[in-house]
Amino acid sequence: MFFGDFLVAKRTAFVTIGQAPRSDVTPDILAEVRTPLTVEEFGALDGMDADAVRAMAPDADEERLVTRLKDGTEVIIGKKKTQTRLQDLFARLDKENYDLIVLLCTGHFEPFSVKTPFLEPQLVVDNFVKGLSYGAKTLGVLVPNEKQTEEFHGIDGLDAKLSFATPYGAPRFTEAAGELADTDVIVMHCMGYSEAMRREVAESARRPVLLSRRMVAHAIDLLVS
Amino acid sequence: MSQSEPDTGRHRIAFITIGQAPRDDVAPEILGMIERPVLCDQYGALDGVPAEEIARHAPAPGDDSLYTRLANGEHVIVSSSFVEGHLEETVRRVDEAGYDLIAIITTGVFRPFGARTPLINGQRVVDAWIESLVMDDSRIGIIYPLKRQIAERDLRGHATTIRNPRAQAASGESRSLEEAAEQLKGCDLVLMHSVGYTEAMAQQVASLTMAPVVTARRVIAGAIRLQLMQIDEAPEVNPTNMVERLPVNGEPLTRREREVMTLVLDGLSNKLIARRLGISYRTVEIHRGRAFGKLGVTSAADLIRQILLKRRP
Repeated sequence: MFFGDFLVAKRTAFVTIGQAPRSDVTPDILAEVRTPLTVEEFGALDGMDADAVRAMAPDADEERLVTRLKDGTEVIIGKKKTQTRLQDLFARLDKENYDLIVLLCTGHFEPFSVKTPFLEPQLVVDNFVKGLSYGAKTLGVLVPNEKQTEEFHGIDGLDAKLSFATPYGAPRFTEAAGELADTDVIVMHCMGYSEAMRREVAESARRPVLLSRRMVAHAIDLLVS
Repeated sequence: MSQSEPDTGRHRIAFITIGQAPRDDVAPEILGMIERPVLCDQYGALDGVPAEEIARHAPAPGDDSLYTRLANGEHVIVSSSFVEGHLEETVRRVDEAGYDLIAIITTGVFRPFGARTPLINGQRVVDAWIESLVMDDSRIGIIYPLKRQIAERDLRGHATTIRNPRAQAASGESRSLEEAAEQLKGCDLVLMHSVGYTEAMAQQVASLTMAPVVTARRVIAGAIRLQLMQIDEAPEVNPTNMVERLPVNGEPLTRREREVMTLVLDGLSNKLIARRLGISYRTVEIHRGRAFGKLGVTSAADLIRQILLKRRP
C-alpha cells in the first residue's frame, strides 16, 4: 500500500544480485519510469574480493544465476547462496524505510521475507507474458547461460522454447534469434538485456521481442503512482 | 453493489465498472484469470442513476465517448466526463470500505484517482502493458469497440503512448470481429482494447489473424495478480498478518477473534463486522473484548498504536 504524496520522489533501493551500481541497467529503467524516483543501489556481492566471489560459484546440484561485477565482467553464481545473501541484504534495507525495493534480476527465487514494498521482476515478467494467451502457442525465452535453459521454471499455459545468449560476454544474439525464429513471441528473460540487444534479436528473428527491464520499469509506475 | 460471501481468509477486491453493476458478462472471467480465490464486490459508477439521466449524457461533439453496459444488459454510449464524475464519487466511497484492492475494470478512463487502497486503473495497466512491449519494429493491431474511439484516442495522444508508427487500429463495431481481424492481417500482435472482449472472441481473432492476441481482461487480471502478490509480500500492510504478528500475553487468539481483529483493523464498525461474519452484534462485542484483553489493549485506536510502535525499529 502506498500512502504517498504524488509530488515527492519515491525513495527506492535497486538491488542487483551482482555488484552495484548497475550502470548498464539503472539509467534505462529510470528513463522509462514516469514516477519521480530517487535510487540508491546495492548488490548481493558488494564488497567481495575475487576469492569471495569465486566461493559463490554454483555447487554441482545448484541452479545458476548470471550477473555482473562492478568492473563489468560476467560472473556465474549459485542461486541458493545468492538467495541467502539477498535475504540478509533485504533485512538490512528493511530498516531504511524505502518506499520500494526493486530486485534487478528475473530469476525465480524462493519467496523472500521483505517488509518494504518489494518488486520481484520474475513475477512482473511472467504476469505480463501470461497476458499473451491466445495465438501465442510457443514462447521463445532467452536466458544468459546454456545451463539455465534446462533450469527455466516455465510460464503457466505457454509452451516455452529456450535459447541462450549472455548480455555480459561473447555475444551470440544472432544465433539465439535464429533458434527462436519459429516461436510466436520472444522474451529476453534477464535484466541485463538492453534495448540494443533486443533490437538485434528482433531483427534476426523477425518476431516481437519483449525486454524484461522495460516491463519492470512500467510495473514500477503501476505500483508506486 | 453485489455482496460477496463472508470469509476473512481471502483478499477482498472491489471491482468498479463505468456502467452498472454487476457485470456478469465481465467479472467472472476476470476472477477466473486471477487464479486464486478472492472475495469480490462489484460497484458501478452509474448504479442508481436513472435511465433518462444517462440518456441525456450521450457524448456531445468534442466529448470522448465511453461504451458500457447497464444493469438491464443494454449497452450505452455516454460522455466520458459525465461517467468520470460519477466514477470519482464511487471510488471515494469504495476507498472507505477497507478493501485490499480496488480494480477499475474498464479501459478508456485516463484520469488518475487518489485512493488509499491500492488501485488498478484498467486503462493504465493496459497502457503500461503495451508500452512495455510495443517496439517500433513490430506491427501491433488494436481493436477498439467504437469507430469514433480510434479518432479520439489519436487526438488525445494515445497514438504517442503507443510509440509505434506501425500501429494499426480496427473497430469491433464492424459487423463482426472477422472484419476487424481482416483489417489487422499481417500484424505481429493484436490487442483487444476493451474489457467487453471475451476469451472466446480473442480465440476467434487469434485464429483469423494467426497472431498472438491480448485482451484487456487478461492484462487487468495480470495486474491484479501482481498487486495481490505485492500485498502478500508486504505483510505489515495486510490486516490479517498484522493481527498474527501482534504480541499476545498468554493465551493465543482464537480463529474467530483473529477474524474480528482483522476487520477492526480494516476500520469496520461492530455492526459491519457482525454482518460480514454472519454473527450477532453481541457476539462480535464478546470476541472483540476477549481479543483486546489478550492483546493488552483497550480500544481499536490503542491496537493500531501498538502495531505502529512495533513497526518502528
